[in-house]
Amino acid sequence: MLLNFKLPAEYEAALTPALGEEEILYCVPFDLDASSDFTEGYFVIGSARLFVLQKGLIAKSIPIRAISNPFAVELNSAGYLECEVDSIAMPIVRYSMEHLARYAMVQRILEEIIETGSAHQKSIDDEKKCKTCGRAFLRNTTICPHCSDRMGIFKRLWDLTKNCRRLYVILLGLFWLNSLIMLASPAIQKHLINDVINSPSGTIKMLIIFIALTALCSIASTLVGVFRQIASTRASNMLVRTLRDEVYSKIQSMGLGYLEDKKTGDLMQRINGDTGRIQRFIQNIAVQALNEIMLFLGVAIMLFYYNWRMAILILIPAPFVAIIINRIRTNIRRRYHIQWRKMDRLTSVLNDVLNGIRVVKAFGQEQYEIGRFGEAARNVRDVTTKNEKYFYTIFPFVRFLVGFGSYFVLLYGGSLVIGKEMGLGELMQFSTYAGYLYNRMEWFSFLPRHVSEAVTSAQRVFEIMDEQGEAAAHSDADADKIQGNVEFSHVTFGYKSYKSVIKDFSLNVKKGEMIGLVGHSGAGKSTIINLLMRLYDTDEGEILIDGHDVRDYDRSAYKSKLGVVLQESYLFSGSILANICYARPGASVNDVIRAAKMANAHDFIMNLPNAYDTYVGERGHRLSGGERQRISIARAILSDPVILILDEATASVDTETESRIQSALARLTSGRTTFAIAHRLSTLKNADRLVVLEEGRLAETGTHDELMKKNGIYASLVRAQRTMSAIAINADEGGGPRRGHRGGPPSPR
Amino acid sequence: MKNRDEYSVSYLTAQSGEFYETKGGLLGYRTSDADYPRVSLYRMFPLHDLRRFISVREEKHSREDRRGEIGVIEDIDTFPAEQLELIERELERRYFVPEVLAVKNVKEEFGHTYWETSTSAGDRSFTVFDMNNSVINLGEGRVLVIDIDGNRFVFPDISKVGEKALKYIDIWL
Repeated sequence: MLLNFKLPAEYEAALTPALGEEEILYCVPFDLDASSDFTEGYFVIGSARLFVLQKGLIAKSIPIRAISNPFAVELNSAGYLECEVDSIAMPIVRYSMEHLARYAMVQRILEEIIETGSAHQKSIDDEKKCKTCGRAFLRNTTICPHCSDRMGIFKRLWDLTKNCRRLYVILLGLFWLNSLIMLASPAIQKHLINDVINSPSGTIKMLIIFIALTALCSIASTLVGVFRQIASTRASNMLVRTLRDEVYSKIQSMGLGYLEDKKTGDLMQRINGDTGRIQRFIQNIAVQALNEIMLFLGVAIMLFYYNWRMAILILIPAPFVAIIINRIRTNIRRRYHIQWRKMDRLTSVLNDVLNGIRVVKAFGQEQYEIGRFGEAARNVRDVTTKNEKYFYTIFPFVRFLVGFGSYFVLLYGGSLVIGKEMGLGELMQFSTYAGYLYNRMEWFSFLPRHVSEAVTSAQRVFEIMDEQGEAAAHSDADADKIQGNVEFSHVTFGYKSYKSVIKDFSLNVKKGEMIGLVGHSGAGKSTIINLLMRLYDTDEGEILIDGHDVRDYDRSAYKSKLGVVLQESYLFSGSILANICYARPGASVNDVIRAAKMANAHDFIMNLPNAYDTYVGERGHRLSGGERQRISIARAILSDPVILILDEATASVDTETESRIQSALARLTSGRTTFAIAHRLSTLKNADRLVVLEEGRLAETGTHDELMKKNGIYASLVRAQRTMSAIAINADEGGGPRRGHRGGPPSPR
Repeated sequence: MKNRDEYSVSYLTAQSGEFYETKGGLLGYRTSDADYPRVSLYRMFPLHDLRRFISVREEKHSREDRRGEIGVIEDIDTFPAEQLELIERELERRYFVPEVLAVKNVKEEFGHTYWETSTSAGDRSFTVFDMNNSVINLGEGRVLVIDIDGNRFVFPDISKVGEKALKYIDIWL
């Protein structure tokens, strides 16, 4: 994202004299004035002053030493930058949503300048529009569909065919062979009519020969068509497989930051949808386009060769016919789109009601729902009837237009035949060629849309393939020697470059120590874990494992030393055995059973009819949250991690299950450096130290008793939980709120 | 059983207190008992009722979401002219939704629709992607369109945008 725009000449002319010795550090546009009207202006951060330039003039100039508390305020559909100037809060500039993220960065820049006297902020976020033409980039990309090199895209697609080029050459040959047969067929028919049927010298033998030739053409065309389809399917499948493999491998090599930015749906769309579209384009369009062009040229040449006047007569109306047909088709598509939308609405009403049928019946809203469905169904009926009427009225007209040229041929050609200047066979031949031409024209009218769709898909796929994968290890620190000493040294990190979630966080953890991470929601606990797992890299500072920067270790070797138990344990589709072995493929059955026993999972697994062979996952056996959790713990035990991460590992289970999981976790954490996050503070009773985070910063650290004595954030969290549990107990008993009742408050220590 | 009053709506009338502009140009509110040097106004029904049920909330800490509701204005038109001006200006700032008065040009390219318009806030070009989710029918001819940045534009009467523009939009209604 640009933070240093170049000022237009008139603004520069206005600012330069006022700027004097000062230097422009940052310059960003804004687009709303104080009365919320669109305007043009720039906000300039100089080395000593802030300037607001509007309509080519300096509207405000504020010394930086006078400002404090800069804040980019986000409103419902606009924003403004607010600062305290000489302790009076005021809006400095207003802007539309287009500049929202940019001014969040400006806030950070001003904060840094106020704090340190200088700023080094750079935004890694992307712009949404092309700098050259102003058009929007393709969704979730930085590709301008207008400015990108289309021929370059086709060249890259061509490069991908390197393993199956022979097949493409064969395919093209087959298409051309088919074209030759198509061109030859009317010529044979011409001779059949002129020299046999309509000639005194025609004989039965000649008739049979010409009919046989016509039949042969037809059979040859069919056979070539079959081979062509087989070859094109094979060629496009080979290409798409290569493409999918490459995209999928690339995605696997990307960092989580990139993947989360792209969203699962978008990535799946690129792997499946876009590559599929490329496949269809190559299979059905690309090679055929070459063939159609050749056929079109071939027919045109032959027409001009035989009778140029008639050729012109055929060709003149062709473009107009193609345009009219294209317009009609666009209209039809639009009408069917509306029909599809109405159908969609009907389905959504139906889906709503069927999913919520218990609520509908419970509130006695059957009549209301019948009315709602009836209205949606009526809309579908009306639109469908209208569309069908239109379609059946207009379609014969389209067919008439496609055959329009043949009337000219018949009119002019017929007069030539009557005047004995042309044979009946030539007329038939011309008429057939005219049909070919009009069909080609119709086909070409769709080509731009197909090409545009395929190019867009190819661009989206190539964008992933061009991304840099995760960086390789900086040096060759040996992950096998990891003991488990962890140090966070002045770590700062944000998922968006302009919004830090972890700020200057430092913590030293000795091997075998158990750390409980505590804090309000959004304090940054999970982010600390994500950084430790190397799902993201720090923006500033470093994480040291046994004195080496975590980035110095080979990523996969480092991760093999980590064990993770998350709140929602994800089990892959497969057997329980395969799921436990996921972290250590090839583990012995004995080790697996031992891990399951340590995780208190063995007994419930043995109660399942298929025991360790039980199929779990999306369509498999439904396990309870606690059961899934224990399999996940077994998986972590089997991997024998040096550093263990427990992220709300017992949050979604009942108290009884929790105790089983707790005992399993106690075995797992023994002797391992452990980082645990738990909403229920009682879960952290075994922690050696509690680390309290507040807005991304380390706020408190110590044991439970030390922190309670301190009476800070942790103490207030514990008190809040005690109150909650007292209310819950009373609610269970139907009594009023009482403190310190049976069961008592959670006791973290 | 909790006291019902705790949950009842506290309505603010022109007599309850007065809005004022701070030195910095922000909005404040004072009553005979209290002074709120920083308040924000939020519509309860930002799509369907723009002048009624406005929540007046105190901005305690601008960086954090800790806003307390002072009360609710049932109908801003019951306030005197100078108070109404302050209220309207604050609402316009928060809910910046220009009305599209005329469509100068509209075209579709590569899945995006490009609009050149004259709006109640001046001329503006905007780009819309995914019309399916970006066009919201507000009823009675009013249509809300959200552009790729999240800016909102409202067509006060969609039947008056002209045939060409209508073609781009009506299939999504």
